[in-house]
Amino acid sequence: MLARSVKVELPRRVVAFYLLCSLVALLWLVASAVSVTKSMIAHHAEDELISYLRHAAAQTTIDLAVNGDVNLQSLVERFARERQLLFCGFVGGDHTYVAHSLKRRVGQPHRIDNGITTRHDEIELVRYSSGSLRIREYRTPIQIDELAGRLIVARAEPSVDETLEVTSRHAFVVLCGPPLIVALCGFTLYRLVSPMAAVDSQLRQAALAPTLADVELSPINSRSPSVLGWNRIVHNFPHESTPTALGQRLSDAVQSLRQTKSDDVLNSLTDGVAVSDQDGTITFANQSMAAMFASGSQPDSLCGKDVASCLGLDAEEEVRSALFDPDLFARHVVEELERGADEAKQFLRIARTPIRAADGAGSPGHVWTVRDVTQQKLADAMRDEFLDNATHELRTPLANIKAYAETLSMGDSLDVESQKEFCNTINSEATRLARFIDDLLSVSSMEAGSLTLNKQGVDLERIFSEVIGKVKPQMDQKRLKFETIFPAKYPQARLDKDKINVALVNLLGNAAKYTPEAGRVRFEVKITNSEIRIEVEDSGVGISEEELPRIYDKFFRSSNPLVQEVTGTGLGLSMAHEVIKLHGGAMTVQSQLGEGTTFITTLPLE
Amino acid sequence: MSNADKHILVAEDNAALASVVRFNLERAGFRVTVAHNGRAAWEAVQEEAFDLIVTDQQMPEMTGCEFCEKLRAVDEFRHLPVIMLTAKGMELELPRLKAELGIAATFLKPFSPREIVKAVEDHLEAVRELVSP
Repeated sequence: MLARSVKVELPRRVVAFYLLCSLVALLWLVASAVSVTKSMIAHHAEDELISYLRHAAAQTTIDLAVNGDVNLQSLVERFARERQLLFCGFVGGDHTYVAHSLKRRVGQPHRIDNGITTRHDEIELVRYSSGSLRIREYRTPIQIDELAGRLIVARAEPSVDETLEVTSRHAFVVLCGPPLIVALCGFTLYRLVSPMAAVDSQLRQAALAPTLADVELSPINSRSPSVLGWNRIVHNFPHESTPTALGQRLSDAVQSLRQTKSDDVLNSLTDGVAVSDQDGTITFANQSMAAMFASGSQPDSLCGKDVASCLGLDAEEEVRSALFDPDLFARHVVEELERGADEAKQFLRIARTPIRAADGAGSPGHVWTVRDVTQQKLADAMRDEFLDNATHELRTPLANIKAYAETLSMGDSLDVESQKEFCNTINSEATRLARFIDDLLSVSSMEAGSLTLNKQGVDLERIFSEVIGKVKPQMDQKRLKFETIFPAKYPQARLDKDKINVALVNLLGNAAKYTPEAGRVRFEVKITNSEIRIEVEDSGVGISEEELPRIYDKFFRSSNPLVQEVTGTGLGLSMAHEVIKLHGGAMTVQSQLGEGTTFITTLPLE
Repeated sequence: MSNADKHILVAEDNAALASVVRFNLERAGFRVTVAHNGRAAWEAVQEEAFDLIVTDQQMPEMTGCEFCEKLRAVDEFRHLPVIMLTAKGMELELPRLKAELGIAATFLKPFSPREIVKAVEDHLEAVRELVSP
């Protein structure tokens, strides 16, 4: 047989109550023992009285035998006094009292009519009633010579009423005490245990239920701390019957956490994202979407609206029919939308992707992503233009070189002068080609951020005269008035000679290129204590105010038709600006459209 | 009829290239006039009669194509042979140019001057055959 011992940890109150009950029981036992002892003592008192009677009889006999005559009266009176007897007497042979503790009874007959007699050896016990008293009378015979008689002692028994009363008093304590204590204990125990039993029964129910969702917990009406704690738990436990339970609440919380996270991610995207249902009604839109199509108001304001009108497709028949072609609803579709005009022109790439239903049946809607590709478009356009220009810039000198070389090669009819001229042309075209290739390489270094300076002590005067030498032919070709103003003396300077040379040639080359024939170009160098200040002023086409901020952008070329008709790569100014910046200098520009432009370059003197 | 009777217009903004084309055509015996942009070329055809035009596509003021369109709009010049020099990557557009503008031949830069001269001679020969079989 296996016995499993369970260690139960009882609440302190229960233990305290148990100890209290035990104490009461102990006290009860003590009280009972006292009571029993008391009755035993009473019994013993009777035995003692009997033995006292024997002793008294013996003494009386001895007294009679020794003294012959003896004062019986004083003897009985002493006996009565000593034992607090009802009375004591001596009955002679004639059945009259010879002596009696109550003197008036001396001489009266000893008579008992209605007594119950029992015997203890020679002692006779007679119980009888006299009036309201119950009397116990003990008699013992005394026989000496002719004198014979009986010594009698009597004691009053308690009256019936008195006995009943005493008995009833004891009966209450004896009979009612234990049930009372049991009832009290039971009640208190019930009060203590019943709330815990309620908790216990609900926990059992929870243990037996198949899922937590099926458990229904209810608060308990009690003020004990454990129950108050239980009630708090129950309070936070869902009470709805569908779909209740902690599990559901937990999964809801996790779901909402996930939702918040993915919302944050979606709102951080720079692309506009929206979700539409089957009817094309928006059910979700992120912040970027709102910024693009709801002038920055809350994304929720887009919800419930028609996706086509939100995207501004109402007037864009072509794009709309492509995006809303029912045959393509299950496919990924990308379209480009152009909106706005001039400066505010935007290119938006709209992609529509069907949402795949979890069960694979049909599509519950679409995800729309909108990307602003304006910058990309502009960059592409600039690059295309650059490629066109670059191709032209490469092919033109190449075409010249090839044409002249071929002409020379069949040159039996060429005079020496022509041959020399042709060779010079080939040479200058090759130089032009080489310079353009250098520019391209510089640009690619700039793109890679690896344009580095090779600074060295330079002769400024020589640099400027080299630059003038390079641009002079261009000026002369267009019959420009080229004015140069130089300081009398130059300080020592540390610069990257070649790059500064390129930058200045570009600046002056632009002045020459974009100034109409017979115009004017001024090149002035000033030296101050801390810097070299170079001004390039022309009376050319000028730059519009809108285009001024972009003139240093790579590949940028003015949309001015007067500029467009001149070939160029949009690299020269960008490169010059970069070189000056790398030297720690600055470039500022003042320009008036149709009037002319002045570039002011400053280079620090170290 | 010799080449010397033939008057060729060369429209080309790059002076060096114009002069080398002119040199080669003159060496072949043609009479050559050079215009440095599209508008100058248009003005030239108003003033003088040409048997063939060699024009660059990319020119300031007026492009080669624009110049051609203007020519074709006038009955007098509708059948004037035009040879076009292109520098840009216009290869894809060449068939369209030939069909719409009646360009006789195109040359991508860099080209061979000898081939230009040959093309000029071939087209003048073809015209001659058409006119007097």
